[in-house]
Amino acid sequence: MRAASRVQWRGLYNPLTLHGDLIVDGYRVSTFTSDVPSVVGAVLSAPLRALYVVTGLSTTLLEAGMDRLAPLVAAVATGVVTGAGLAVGSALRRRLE
Amino acid sequence: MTIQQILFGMNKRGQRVCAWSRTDADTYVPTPQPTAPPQAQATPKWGSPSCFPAAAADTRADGWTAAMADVVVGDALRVAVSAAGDAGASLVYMFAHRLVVGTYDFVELTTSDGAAPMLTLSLGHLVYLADGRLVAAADVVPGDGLQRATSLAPGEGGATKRPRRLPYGCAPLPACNGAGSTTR
Repeated sequence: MRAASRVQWRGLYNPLTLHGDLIVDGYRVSTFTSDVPSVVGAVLSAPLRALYVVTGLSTTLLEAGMDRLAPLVAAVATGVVTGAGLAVGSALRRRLE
Repeated sequence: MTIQQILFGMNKRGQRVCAWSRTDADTYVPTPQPTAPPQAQATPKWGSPSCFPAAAADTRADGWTAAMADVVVGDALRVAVSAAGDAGASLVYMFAHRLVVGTYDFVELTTSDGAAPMLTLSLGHLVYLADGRLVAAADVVPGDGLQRATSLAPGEGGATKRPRRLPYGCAPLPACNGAGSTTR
């Protein structure tokens, strides 16, 4: 490698292969990032890979990026916490009665 | 067309939005292009993007290259660098990012290889060095060797071309997200 320069290009794509590698622009790269160790990434993605291999199903949930997923995660988390709180409250009320 | 979509999605930019889908790659319909003008900068705020630009060239199992924007779930892409006769292909099972709109920051690694003069990817994306180490693109320094896919033989002997790189994306847009930009 002779030089590195910052550039801006259109589009943001990260196709994930079952193998975990890609050939891009003629060079070997990983589908993983420095944010998460490759081993951890492989473990976390294992259910999705297995689902695709077995059923052919693929999720598009992450295509818009994790920042787009944040509201959904927050909504689900809020629902879970609220549901748990209601369940605990109901159980306590039954015990008191 | 065989597309099954289940659950719901988010649609702030006209992106294809469903939680689960089953797509027949042979009859895949590209994501409709939004009519909104490209944004000057659209770096996601949560989770650093580690991806490739739309015009980066994937190598398919048959050795031909295709623009990243043309790759769909179910495509078989090359994953191995060498070993003649052992192409090493693997299926795309999902996208961690697939944003058509917006421009994003990348690092362009310029090499001394005239046939593959540069590799463009996000700063945090992992790339293999010649010595086998896997490092973030931001950590590659001049003098480092990259693992070049030297033994690829597109179509059993044809020449591999790089897709066009346009400063602000692909124009006309249909050629970017369809078969038009595949350098076959």
